Amino acid sequence: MNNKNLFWFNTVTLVLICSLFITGCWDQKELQDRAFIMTVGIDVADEGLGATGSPPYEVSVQVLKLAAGASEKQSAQEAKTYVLSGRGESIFEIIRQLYSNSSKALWFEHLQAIIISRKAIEKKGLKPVLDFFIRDSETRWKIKLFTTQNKVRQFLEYQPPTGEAGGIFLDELIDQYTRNPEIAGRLLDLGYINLLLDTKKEVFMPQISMQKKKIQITGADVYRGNTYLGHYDEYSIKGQKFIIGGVESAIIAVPYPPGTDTIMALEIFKIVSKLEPHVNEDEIYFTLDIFIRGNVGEKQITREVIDLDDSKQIIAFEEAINNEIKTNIMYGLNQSRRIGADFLQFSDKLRAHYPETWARLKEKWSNIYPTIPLYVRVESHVRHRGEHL
Amino acid sequence: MNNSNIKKISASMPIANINSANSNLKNLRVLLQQSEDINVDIHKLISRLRNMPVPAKTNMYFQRSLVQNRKILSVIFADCADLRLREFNLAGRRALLIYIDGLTDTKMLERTILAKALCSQEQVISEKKIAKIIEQILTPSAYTIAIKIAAAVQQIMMGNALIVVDGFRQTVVVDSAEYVKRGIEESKSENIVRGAHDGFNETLRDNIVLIRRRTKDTNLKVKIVDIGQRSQTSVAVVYVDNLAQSDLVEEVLRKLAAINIDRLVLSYNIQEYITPRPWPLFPTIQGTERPDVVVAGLYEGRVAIIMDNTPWALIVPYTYNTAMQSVDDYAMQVPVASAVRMIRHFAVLVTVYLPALYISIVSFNPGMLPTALAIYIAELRARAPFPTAVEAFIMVVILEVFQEAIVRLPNRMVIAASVVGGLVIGTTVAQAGLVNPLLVVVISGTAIASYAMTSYNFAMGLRLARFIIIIIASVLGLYGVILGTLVLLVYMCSLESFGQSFMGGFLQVDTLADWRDSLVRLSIKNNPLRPKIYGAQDETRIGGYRDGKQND
Repeated sequence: MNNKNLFWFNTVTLVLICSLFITGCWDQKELQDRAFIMTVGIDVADEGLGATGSPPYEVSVQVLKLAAGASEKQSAQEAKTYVLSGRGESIFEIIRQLYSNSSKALWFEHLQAIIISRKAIEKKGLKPVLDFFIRDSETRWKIKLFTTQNKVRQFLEYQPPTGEAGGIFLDELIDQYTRNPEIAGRLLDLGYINLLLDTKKEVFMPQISMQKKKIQITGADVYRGNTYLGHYDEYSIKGQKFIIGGVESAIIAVPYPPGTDTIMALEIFKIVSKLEPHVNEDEIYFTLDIFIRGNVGEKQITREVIDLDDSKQIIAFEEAINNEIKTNIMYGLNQSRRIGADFLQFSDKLRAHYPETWARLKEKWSNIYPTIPLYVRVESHVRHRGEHL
Repeated sequence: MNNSNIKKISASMPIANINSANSNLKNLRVLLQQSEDINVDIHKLISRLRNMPVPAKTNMYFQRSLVQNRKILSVIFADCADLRLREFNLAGRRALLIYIDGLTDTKMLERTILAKALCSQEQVISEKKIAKIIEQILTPSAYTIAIKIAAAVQQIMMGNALIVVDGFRQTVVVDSAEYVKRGIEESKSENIVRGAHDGFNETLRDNIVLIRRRTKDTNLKVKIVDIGQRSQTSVAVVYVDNLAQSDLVEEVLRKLAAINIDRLVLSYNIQEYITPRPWPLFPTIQGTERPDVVVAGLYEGRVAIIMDNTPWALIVPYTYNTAMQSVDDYAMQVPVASAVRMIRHFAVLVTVYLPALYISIVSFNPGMLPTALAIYIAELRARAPFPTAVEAFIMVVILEVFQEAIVRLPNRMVIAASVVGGLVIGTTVAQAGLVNPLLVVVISGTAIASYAMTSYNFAMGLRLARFIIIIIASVLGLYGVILGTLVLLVYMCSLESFGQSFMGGFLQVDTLADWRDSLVRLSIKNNPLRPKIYGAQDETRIGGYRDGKQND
């Protein structure tokens, strides 16, 4: 063996021997040896004060229970997950304390949802609560956030009827926002909320509540910084979605013929909305133009035959839809104004279109905002009537 | 037994004689040693004597006397039971016909030599030149004159007959080689659906004919060299004179001439000699049993090396791009062929990376999996007794052993082995919980991907690369896979085949024009260029093609 070959032989041997010693890389942990946390619930204790003068955290984690072997079918009744919880001042510390209850290391890689009680946000502030999750390298920014008025632990113990893990249930529940315009879900994950926090905007978090032992999304809570501003109900979320988008394939049901108690519904296929600020000397107003195209989705009319081939009938139906949408938008706007949140981003629009006016009004914006008029014009078109004789 | 006859040695030999007995024994040992040395010397002498008549490169000539010549030849061919000698009269002189039984067409010899010679008994020709005698009496279709013994002996060993005539230093070599050989059959290792079905056989002459028959181009040149001091195997270098770069041909001939070995058995022997790397992971020389592949290669400006006694022709240079091409690609609709080509490239990645990715994702980075899949795998592995890496190793080793067994087994046993392997590995091992079913899917997917390669040797290289990547992956996870990829890529880019980069034509910037027959295949009409990487003297296939336009 000449010198060159010897050199390579030695090098390769050295590398191979060295590699034997680094087999214990920190994240070398087999999949089945990791305990996947599906949901984290953050609450504050009812009584007792921590060292900082505020009540201590009560953190619960929902851990996935692995079925023992794929060949043995798990019974449907058996829970997919179990809950561990601890109490303390630091969320990270509590998570580490939970290791005394778990035979496997806890991993946040597949965390699906974080539920934070309204009380915890009010006592601790949203940013400190989320700090650990933003810092930690394992958590993804697509994790869904929820808030609730109830105690958090019950949501983690909830066993979905579908048999899936609770965290996956929550994750997929909020994704239904594309079908149901009353669910606030678009752009409300950990990353986006973090962005809103950083830009000091109002934060909008979907609220869940436990009703008749079932999890339900009930509107959304609005926070600014650490303060709770108020609550949007489902109807106002729908109203706001007409402006910010996300109502494609929504159903709008209106009494038809107008004034009766029979119902006809429109299924929206396309919606274009345009919110524009206008400044006329000292007068500021906003206009909102909405264009909607859709089909007749349902007709709950038995008493009289309505001939939808008659264009007058269609025009009347479109008129009823326009009025309903206008009402809905104004309802949402009023609720938004009542709690003092500017989620429709009037301020951004004004700043973008009229920077000088914005500079003048910036200081007293919160007083002016509720008084700015919004003129709404809705134009809806029914494309297909879907009638058969 | 009469016990009284038995006496102690000491009784017959006085004690004083023990010393002399010892010295006698010593002398005897010395004598034995010396006789052994003499024995070795005698053997050396015998072997030297054997080699005497025709030392490889010396010039020794035939004598005028037939008796002398016969003596010389009988020394050379001592202990060659298959040598046939036949004395006869030719034009009033004694003559000797020499050939090797089985290598020679004896019927032809009877008809054209013996019958003619014996029928013209009375005719006595006093010619000075042997050629005249042959031309007047005998009727062989082709003959040559040999005066050197070494050359004549080589001709005999090739199957030709030698005629030695008394009174002449010249001997006559009659072309009469005919021996048992395999017919032209379909290639055993490179099956194709649509295309020519004739494959090379073990006869150099037939193989060259198969190439010649495919093109009537006189620029197609064949140079034959003999390699191997003992075996003197004929090796043909085939190239197209006005396409292949002359320095490439020179380089091939030079490397062949430098081969210093006593025998060649496989064409791979040549391959190992002319490959610059002693430890190549991937082949840098193409091996094929198909004449159409050779002809296509020749018209890309490459050089073929065909060895006698093997159906495997070698073509140089060889690149990754060529390794991905199959004859069938050119006999398919263009879009289908392109899709197949891409699948083959994808199969390379699967062959090398699939098990490594599985190991690293399952045991290092499960966060990369979709949650549902992560839960599924975790549940499959909930009671797994081994870590993923060990599990994968077991499976890969079983797979390799199984493949090796199938290749070695006689055809009838293969079916039995397949059933045993399929049932045992596929079903029972998974049912026993030793390995999880997903891993079985991963490993079998890898195996099947490796079968999609057109070159067996290239696939074997990939299989070894897979092992290396698996080891790195089980130590360092995805980080290791990336490191391994870099090393593998650097290695593949550093490979050279007769001056051309192995990855050239695929990754090399100045040969990007070869994309037309790389990841996709354009129709032959739309691809007028020869592969740039091989640097053929004439770049275009279509006459008058310049800058993408066809002019008259």
